[in-house]
Amino acid sequence: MNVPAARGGEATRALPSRWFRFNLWLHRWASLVATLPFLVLCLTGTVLIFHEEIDAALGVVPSAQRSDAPHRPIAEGVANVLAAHPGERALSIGIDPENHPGVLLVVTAAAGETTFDHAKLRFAELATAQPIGESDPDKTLTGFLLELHSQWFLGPVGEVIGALIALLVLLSLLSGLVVYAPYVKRIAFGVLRRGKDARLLQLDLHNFIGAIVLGWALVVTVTGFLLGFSTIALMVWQATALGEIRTQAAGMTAVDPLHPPADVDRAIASALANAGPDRRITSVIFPGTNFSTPRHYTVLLSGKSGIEQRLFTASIVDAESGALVAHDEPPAYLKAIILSEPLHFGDYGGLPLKLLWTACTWLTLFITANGAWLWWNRRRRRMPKAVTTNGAPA
Amino acid sequence: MSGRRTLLLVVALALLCAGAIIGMLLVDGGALDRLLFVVAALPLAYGFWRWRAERRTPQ
Repeated sequence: MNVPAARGGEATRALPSRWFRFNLWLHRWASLVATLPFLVLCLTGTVLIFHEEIDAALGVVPSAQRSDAPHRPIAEGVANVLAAHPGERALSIGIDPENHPGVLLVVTAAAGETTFDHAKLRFAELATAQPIGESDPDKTLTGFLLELHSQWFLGPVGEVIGALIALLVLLSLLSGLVVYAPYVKRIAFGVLRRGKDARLLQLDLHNFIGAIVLGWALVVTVTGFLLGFSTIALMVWQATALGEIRTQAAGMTAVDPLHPPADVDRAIASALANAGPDRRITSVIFPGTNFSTPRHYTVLLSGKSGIEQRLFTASIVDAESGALVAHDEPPAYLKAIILSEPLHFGDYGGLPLKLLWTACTWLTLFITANGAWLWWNRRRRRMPKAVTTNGAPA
Repeated sequence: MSGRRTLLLVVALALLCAGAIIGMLLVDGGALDRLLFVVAALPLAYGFWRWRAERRTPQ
């Protein structure tokens, strides 16, 4: 947001305070530095709001023909997927009955892998345990855009850069509010000075639109900032909560990650037996990965509705005996990051919320570009006119 | 409307909108969810209404 009082050539008033001038400077430079990356974020973000619809249209996740039929054992589905892809191991499995009913996701990688860096997504039908397709997240449209949006193709470093951009935008919003205060004392809310100077109209539009998208922009910016630390937060969680169990497991015999003595169905049964009645399995991470131990499964459970659907609890199950070893909730910082994702992408309230998100994103896109134009226009006006060699104006 | 009141209105609308967006995540469907959506969309709706009213006013 900009204020006319701070610009030359307009009504003379008392000199703006140091606080005002600092905020004007901060608003200008935080916004200008963030302009280009923020434009990319707005454009990619608009597409990502509709990632579910796009993925469904492009058939990224195959659908099961018999989603209501009784399920075969999950271990059978995993075994069939691995039989179709020799030389691979299962890193984890996932079940999402709401969005992909009847489909078992099997995340695989080369047999020696312990990380998810080169993971492949394979799918099996729960009713038949037969493979039904596969997907490479890096090669889908939404996967490509998400990597650009969240990591700038730079991995975890790119995430922190994203957090920095979010911080700049947050500073721009807060300083913009300070800069907006004197403006709104003279120009009524919603008044657009048309038919005068183009600059005045753009300034009014910038302030007016900025005021109406402020609440949404605050939510999206703060959550974007938090999401920038998601990999770091997961690493901290791995080192602390999982680290303790890993230390205990260090003295135990590791299991064969390709054929754990207690199969995945036993691990699920053990975790569910010790969980509340409203919990369901979201994911099971096999032993021998960076999110489990060489001896244990990590079973992630979530609630069936509301906010509990988003938050997981982790159960550590011994892959030798099938016994539950530990059950833990994620720490507060990880919960904040998990809840930031839906709040950032607006994909939890159906189509109306997605359309609201799109409208706010486009309006923000407009004021970002128009703010840069205001700065450029002011700079151009302040520059002395070029003079030709004979002294005449060019 | 005075400048101070307008500023308060803008801040109040922003906080209401942010609160409703978060509230929608916490509640699970139903009438409250729809009410929160209306509150979340309020600044946009109010802005649209002000813009239309302003367009009708001669400059």
